[in-house]
Amino acid sequence: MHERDDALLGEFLAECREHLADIENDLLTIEEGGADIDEQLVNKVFRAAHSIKGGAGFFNLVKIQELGHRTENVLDMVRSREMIPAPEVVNILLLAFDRLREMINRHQESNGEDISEIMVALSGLASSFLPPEEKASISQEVVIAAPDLPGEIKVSEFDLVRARREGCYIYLLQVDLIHDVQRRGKTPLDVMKALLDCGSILDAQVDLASAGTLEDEPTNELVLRVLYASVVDPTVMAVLVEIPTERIRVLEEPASAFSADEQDTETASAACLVPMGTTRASGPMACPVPTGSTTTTTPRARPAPVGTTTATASPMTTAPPPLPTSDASAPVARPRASRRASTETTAADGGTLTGGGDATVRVQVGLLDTLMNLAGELVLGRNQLNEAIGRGDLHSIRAGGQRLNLVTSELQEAVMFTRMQPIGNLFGKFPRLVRDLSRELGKDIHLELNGRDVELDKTLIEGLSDPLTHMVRNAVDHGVESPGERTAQGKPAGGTVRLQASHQAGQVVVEIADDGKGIDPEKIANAALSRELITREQMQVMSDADKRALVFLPGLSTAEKVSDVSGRGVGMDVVKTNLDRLGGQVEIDSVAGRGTTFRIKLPLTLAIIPSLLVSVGEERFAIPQINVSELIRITAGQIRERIEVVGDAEVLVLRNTLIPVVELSVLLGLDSEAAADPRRMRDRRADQGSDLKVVVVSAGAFLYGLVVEELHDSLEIVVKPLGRHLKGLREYAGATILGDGRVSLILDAAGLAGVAGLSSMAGSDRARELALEAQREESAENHAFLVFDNGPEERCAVPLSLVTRVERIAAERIEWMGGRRTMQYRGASLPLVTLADAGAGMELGSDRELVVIVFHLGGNEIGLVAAMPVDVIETSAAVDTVTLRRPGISGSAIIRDRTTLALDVHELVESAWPGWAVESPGAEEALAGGEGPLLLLAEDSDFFRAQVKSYLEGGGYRVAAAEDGEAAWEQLEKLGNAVSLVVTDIEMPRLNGLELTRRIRADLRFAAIPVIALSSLAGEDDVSRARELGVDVYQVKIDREHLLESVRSLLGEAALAA
Amino acid sequence: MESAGTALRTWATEETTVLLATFYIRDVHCALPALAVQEVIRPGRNTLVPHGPHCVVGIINLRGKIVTLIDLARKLELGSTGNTEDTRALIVEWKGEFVGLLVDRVSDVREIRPDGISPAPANVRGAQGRFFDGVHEADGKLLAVLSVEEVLSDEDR
Repeated sequence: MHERDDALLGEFLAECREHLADIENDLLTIEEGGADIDEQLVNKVFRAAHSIKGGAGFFNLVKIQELGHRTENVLDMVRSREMIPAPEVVNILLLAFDRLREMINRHQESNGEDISEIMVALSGLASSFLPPEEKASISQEVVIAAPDLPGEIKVSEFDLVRARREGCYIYLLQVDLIHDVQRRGKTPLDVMKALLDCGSILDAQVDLASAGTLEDEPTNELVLRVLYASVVDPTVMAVLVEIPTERIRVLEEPASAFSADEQDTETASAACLVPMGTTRASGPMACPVPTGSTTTTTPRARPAPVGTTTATASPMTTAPPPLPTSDASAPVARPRASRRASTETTAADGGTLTGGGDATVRVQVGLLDTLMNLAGELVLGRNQLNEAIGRGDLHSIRAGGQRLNLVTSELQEAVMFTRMQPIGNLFGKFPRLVRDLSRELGKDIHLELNGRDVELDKTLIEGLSDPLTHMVRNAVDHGVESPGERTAQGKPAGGTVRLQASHQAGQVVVEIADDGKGIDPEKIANAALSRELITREQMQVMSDADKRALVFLPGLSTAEKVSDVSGRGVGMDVVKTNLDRLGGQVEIDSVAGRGTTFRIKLPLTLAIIPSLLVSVGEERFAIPQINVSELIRITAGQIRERIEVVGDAEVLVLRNTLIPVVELSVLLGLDSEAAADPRRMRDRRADQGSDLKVVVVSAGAFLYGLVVEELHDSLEIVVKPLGRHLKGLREYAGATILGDGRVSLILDAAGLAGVAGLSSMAGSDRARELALEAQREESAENHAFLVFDNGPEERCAVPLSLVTRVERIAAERIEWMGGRRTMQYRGASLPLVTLADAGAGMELGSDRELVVIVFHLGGNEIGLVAAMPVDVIETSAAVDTVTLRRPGISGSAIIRDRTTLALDVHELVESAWPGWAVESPGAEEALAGGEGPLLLLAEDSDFFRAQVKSYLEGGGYRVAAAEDGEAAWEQLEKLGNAVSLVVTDIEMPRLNGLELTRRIRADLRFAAIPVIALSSLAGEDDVSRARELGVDVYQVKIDREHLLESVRSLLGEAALAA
Repeated sequence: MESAGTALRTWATEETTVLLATFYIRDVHCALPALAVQEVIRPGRNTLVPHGPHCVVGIINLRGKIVTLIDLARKLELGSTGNTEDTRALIVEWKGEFVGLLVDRVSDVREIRPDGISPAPANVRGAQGRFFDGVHEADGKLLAVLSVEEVLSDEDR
């Protein structure tokens, strides 16, 4: 390759790639069309092959030229309807273009490539459609020689025959690349294109001899000889190619210019056309060369000497051949075998589809102009600013700064646009992939592509190629069922895979959907279980979505049969990793039997990202906004409550889940003090010195909290790569330069998690474990309260479980009837109480927004009048049963930083309206029974112990209370058979309720005592487990009526049994 | 090191001489080919890179490029470069990116002949010997010529 060609070669290669980019889809469309060909489309593909061939000749890329040529021949036959583009034909064409692409990508080595196989296939294809007498022309070459021409030009007889048939002139053009092309500001490719517009180039060669050697007198010309066939008249030709007429030579005039019988006579050609090769003697028609002949590249026999033959022989006599009627399946057998191998190569280099050595991007001229304008503006702005600074005019400086600001933003946007490419570039490879794959798997799959013009940053498109390929393969291989399975399920036999890209809220969403069998969450979970990727406990608490997300775990493949297409047990995890790297997120939607949709959300670009700036000490760090899930400030007082220490790890209570928390300064070793003492967080919990600022970061599949010292602005940063000395650090995604010129590192959420030992699985593992624990803790400690105001500063709470309804009412609805407050409520009169009635609180102001909290007591409803706002709060706050205790108030607790009165509704009603509650059946019995049976109550929460005790005592029972299981057992041993029933909480320290029950049942003395378990947790599992252990009744606390009812019935049964 | 100054020859301006930028790492007089040094800057406040290699003291912004600052004293295991008035960073372009080499102070630029470079004496050829391309003796004092390639290598050996 000569240096002068380098730039041109680059241009040629880029053009070839462009030609090849859409070819697959075009061919597939042609295939779909069948015999009813879309001429424009065929022409387009034909011209692609044609210009590749033409250019390759110019650059002496022999093999590319040969293959391009052969391909072109076949396409020409399709174009002239001599060949029907059956799938087999298209297969071979696809293969041929694959090879062309490969060779173009490695053009330096292309001349050494062995392309015989595909050449045989192509010529076999061509000849099988040709009338017998033309078959030979495929592998025949004709030498064109002229007396005054150095060297010779070889041309395929096939082409010549075709050109003649189309009524073309055959020209020999000698284009001087220096004078005719370069000096006129054109490139050889321009010339080629101009020629291709009006005819076809049969051959093109650069006459290197004419350029001479260094020693020669410079001839100053470089001749490109083009053998050209065109219907264009010689007189017009000169204008067309813009070369002097003496350099245009007509070798042959169209056959139509002569009468049929004249065709045998010599043409007005100055050159001689000599059929080449061994068949010359008997004439080309007599000896068709077998298509499978060992030499597929034409044997290069010695050409006949110039001027020795004058016989133009028979090739010119060909009559237009009849349209072939031979069946299209004839050439199938051979190429079929090679198809598979080639499919795999395509797949393998699928990732480099957009790469492939082309580091160039096509930019619209309009956009370039915009960029240029903006650059001009930028310079102008700078000058203005400089001038203003020189004058020291603050006002102008501000104005200049503003202007620069504006221009910079616009420039940024415009530059980003140059990097934007339609996702269609990427989608383009899938029709072929799906077609080949579904054929291989014996499936019938239709691919739908939507949103091809959605634009994405170039790097993202490249990065998306692999994951998307994998997911489409998965959809075809595992997603869509075989036609048999589908029809058996009443679905159409043909499946659909849909690829869709769209913009949503500043992100690009790419969906890969199939209408196949869907992902069975159980199957995935079981597979993960059997590979010990998750534990059975984890599996039990997982939602279906969680289970489906397990497909992203490394080492999980649910394909029952490992095929070579996908299901090698690698893949989805790699997909996930790749997408994480791109800042993308992936979700799975699936309905069994209906299909699966993978949804990938991507940022528009990677180069500039919105980020949150945080700092630790002197150092600032940027966290990509996409990874920031939320920001939490934990006040000093809340730290103990919100941050838990489980094992070695600190965790944050975030709503109902626990997430691991790490301190950034400790993690990065920025704080030597803290690094020396990993238990500092605990100390912090203890001393509660200052607020804690936590950035909740999502790293792929899980969340974790990052404790930072300060939270700063959110801003757009330009990502710059780190130097190679720092490339190995997973903690950072790069660096950026902040407004003050200092550098700040960009944190990589996933990498940081890895460094902290929270790898995605381990993290989720631990998080789940903790979540389970949290649930348990919650069941023991957390109770829901309805919180409301009474007086302006008086906040009260009642256990939510006692509340039937809450309604807003207008003050005028409250009526006074016989000294009692009532209101019309659901067609009846609802008695009302206030805290003031019971002497438990202040009077309600009349100007407040009122609510009525309806309770169900002793078979009747009663309403408590209270004021807004009303809220439901879950808390584990301890109830102080001493300080504020009075009738109707069981104690006080600190809920959300406010002292809150815990109401005892029964007492409240009792003291407001003595006797009202007496009407309840529980109370009647209590009176009747006199000294009631002795019950043993085990409950660790002071509040509930007091509450339940009062219920039971209200029911007429004597109650012995214990603060945990162990204490209850001690009391039981002391009281012995005096205890007629045990009421126990489940979650308690020392000895829990279930263990207590087990002990009771195991001890002959107490085995017959009925046991009621109380818990706020009542899952199926818990209930059945409690039953197994011998609990008679399992109750959700705290429902007074139910509890008393259960006690009564159990005691009754016990009495009967006795 | 089979022949001293081999790497240096690639920096020779003509056949005969090479320009050396000399500087001090702690109190050792060292040199790098002047042509390898793009500029010398006074390092501003650098940004720490926690968990980075020991020899990397941080990163700085050099006209919009992120430059990794390497403490040559740490690299050569001669202690740490102090932070004084004289501290400078030599900016070297290497494999398409810029790296700053922190030195205690810069000295002069000398023109010497590559054959004036002799193999490093045994006492500097120990573990750290690979960093030296050779030594140059002038006025009875030794000047250690560093190998750009080795000094900037990011491989931990």
